[in-house]
Amino acid sequence: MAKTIGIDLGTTNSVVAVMEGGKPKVIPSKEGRNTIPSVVDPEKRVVGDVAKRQLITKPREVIFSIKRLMGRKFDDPVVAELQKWLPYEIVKGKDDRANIKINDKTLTPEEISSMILKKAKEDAEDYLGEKVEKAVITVPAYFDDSQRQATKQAGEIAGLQVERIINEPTAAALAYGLEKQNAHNIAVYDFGGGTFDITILELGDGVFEVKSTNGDTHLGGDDFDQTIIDYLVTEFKNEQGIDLSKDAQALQRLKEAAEKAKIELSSSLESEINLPFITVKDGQPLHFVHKLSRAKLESLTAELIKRSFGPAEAALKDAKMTIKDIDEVILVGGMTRMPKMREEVKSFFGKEPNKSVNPDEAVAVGAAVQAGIIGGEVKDVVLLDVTPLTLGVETLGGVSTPLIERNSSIPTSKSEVFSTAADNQTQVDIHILQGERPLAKDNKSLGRFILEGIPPAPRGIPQIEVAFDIDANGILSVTAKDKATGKSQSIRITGSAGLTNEEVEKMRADAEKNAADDEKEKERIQAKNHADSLIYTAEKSLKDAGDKVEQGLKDDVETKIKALKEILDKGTREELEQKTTELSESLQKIGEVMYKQQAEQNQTGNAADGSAQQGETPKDGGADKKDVEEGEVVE
Amino acid sequence: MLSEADEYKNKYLRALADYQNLEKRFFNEKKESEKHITRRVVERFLSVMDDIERAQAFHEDEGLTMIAKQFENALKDLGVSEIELVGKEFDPLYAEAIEMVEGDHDNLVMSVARKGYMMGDSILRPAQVRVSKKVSN
Repeated sequence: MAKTIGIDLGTTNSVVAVMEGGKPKVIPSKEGRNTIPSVVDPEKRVVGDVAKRQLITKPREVIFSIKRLMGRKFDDPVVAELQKWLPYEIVKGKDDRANIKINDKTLTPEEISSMILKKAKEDAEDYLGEKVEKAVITVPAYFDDSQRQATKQAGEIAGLQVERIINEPTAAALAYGLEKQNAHNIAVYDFGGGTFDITILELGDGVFEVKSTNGDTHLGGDDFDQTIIDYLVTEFKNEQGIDLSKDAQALQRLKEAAEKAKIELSSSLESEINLPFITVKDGQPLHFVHKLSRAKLESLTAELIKRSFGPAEAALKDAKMTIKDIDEVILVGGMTRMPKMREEVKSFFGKEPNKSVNPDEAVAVGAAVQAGIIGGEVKDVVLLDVTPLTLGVETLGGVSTPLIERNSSIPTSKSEVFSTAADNQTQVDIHILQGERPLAKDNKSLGRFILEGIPPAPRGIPQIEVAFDIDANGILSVTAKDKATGKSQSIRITGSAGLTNEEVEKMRADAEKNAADDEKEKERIQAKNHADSLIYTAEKSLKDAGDKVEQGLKDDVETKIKALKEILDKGTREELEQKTTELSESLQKIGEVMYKQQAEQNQTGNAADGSAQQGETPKDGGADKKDVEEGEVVE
Repeated sequence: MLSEADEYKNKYLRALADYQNLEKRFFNEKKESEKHITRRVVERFLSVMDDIERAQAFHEDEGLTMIAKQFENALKDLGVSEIELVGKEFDPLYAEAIEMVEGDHDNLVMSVARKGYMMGDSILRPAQVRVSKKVSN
């Protein structure tokens, strides 16, 4: 079976990984590197290092940072901000989306991204020696539905079946193997090339939930390089009075030297920048020799590191957590190799950050692990997709009865047995709901259908099994089956996952806000349902009792039934409960009389009669007991 | 029971396929790895060659010329050759543009800031070049 690859589709660089022999492995690009620069020349269909080499010759035709435009509307303020510094042209495209215009051609960000993904696919095919058709692609936790959708489409354009879109921090946590540990709250500190993200994840029942996410879209490793270059340029200017930033060749050499020094200073305390013949002054060659210490680098970049903790604090606040609540801190992104950054992260969280995974590769590796889980290669690891909202059915009195709770891992199925609300009811209406509110009317209706042909029977006797099943793609099937006849009816709902993140959030927020009122109303309805059920039992008992019970008692019960019926629809919970208790007490008197007569009969009757009666009783009693226990009745 | 057997069979086949692919790749990689190591070592020394050439531009010194010659010969023995680019159309496969300069044509390599090298038929290091931009009168 063909492999599923994991792709970290980054703003500056992209990384591809795959599971091999049960272990994740990063796939080297054709250029022999572990990362592919996310740079595209769409005209020549060239991606990565080769495209990057012509950034200067074709500034308006070579596209980088396309991820920043994914799924965005042209009118989005973010786009206006991007237009200020991105050298290529951004135009309004179909559905008001931000598109790219190159010469006379308009391209969507999806198309541009698809070229990066296509290269990832081809590099993987080259490496694996087999066709690759499926992928798991990561996106930032803050990506909304349309940004995720756009990413998925980019994969499809590239000829990849996108098995799943997962959050970058979740992927990182998977790469660190945290799903198998006891950590509950995880902070993912991701310092990338061009962006910084901090995400608080909560791990519960093997499912990662994003509690909050924050960051700085213009803070990354590139800023560190630039800071070093600026410093070196200033130093040289002070020494020699020549501005190297005006000399393209010298600047290029400085850039490379700065990056090399930055990397070197993560493992050694001093790095020598040695650039002979850097420039010419009065016909004489000048050399640039400079010793850069780790301490100097740290003081130069202290502000940059500090900038990451504002978002980190905000993320904690949004997650309603304090530093004490964080069980594990994991590092992602090449910059986190810098000892000073690790030290600062440690002192901020008061905890040694976990750095056991290559931070450049963690996200891609996690995506590969997820791909392995889907492909069945990795077992004992949880599936990550969850239902964002609770799914249930409407039951008597307009109550929403949950079957699959929110945040359940999918695929999953659940069934429950319901019954009828009235005597001789021959059909039930199955109304499928999505949302956290206790009442049906406040939740989103996903669909409804009717199960007919239930044989006439007293209420509560028919057994209708309602089964919910969500497959791995989030498609919900609901089946209702009458256990007596085997008749069944079902519906498939494909749109259940089609809510935007805002919708999901709004629904959750509404549920929280109205929790108290909703709960009260639900209790009232329960009291009403209970009253209704008792009225039914009382009426049945009166009929069964016939003339065995004296008229006075019967009248008392009838009066109380009438009183309860009057307030059934409008009474408060307390009123309903009081009248229900009163009726129940009167009804017990009838019961007592009946039992007494029964007992007398048994004493006078012979043993054979008694056993025959006993033989019947448990049967009826059992059935009765069952429908009282279930208590939930489908309208 | 059957599904468990299927699962094991599937896993076995998958492991076998993984192994066979690994074996194929192992032999290829063994061949490649020698090349890789040489490449890495040579690449690391190219910057020294760059500086020797820079020095040559300023100092006409017989000794320095001899050192440069030695270095060139060593590179040649290792199958390393310079990529000739000046006057040709700029091709990002072989070079990185670091500057645009005025010229009579568009997109031609005007000068080389840092030489590019091939090793056998693969690129060892792309060059860094200045590319022309036609000036309209």
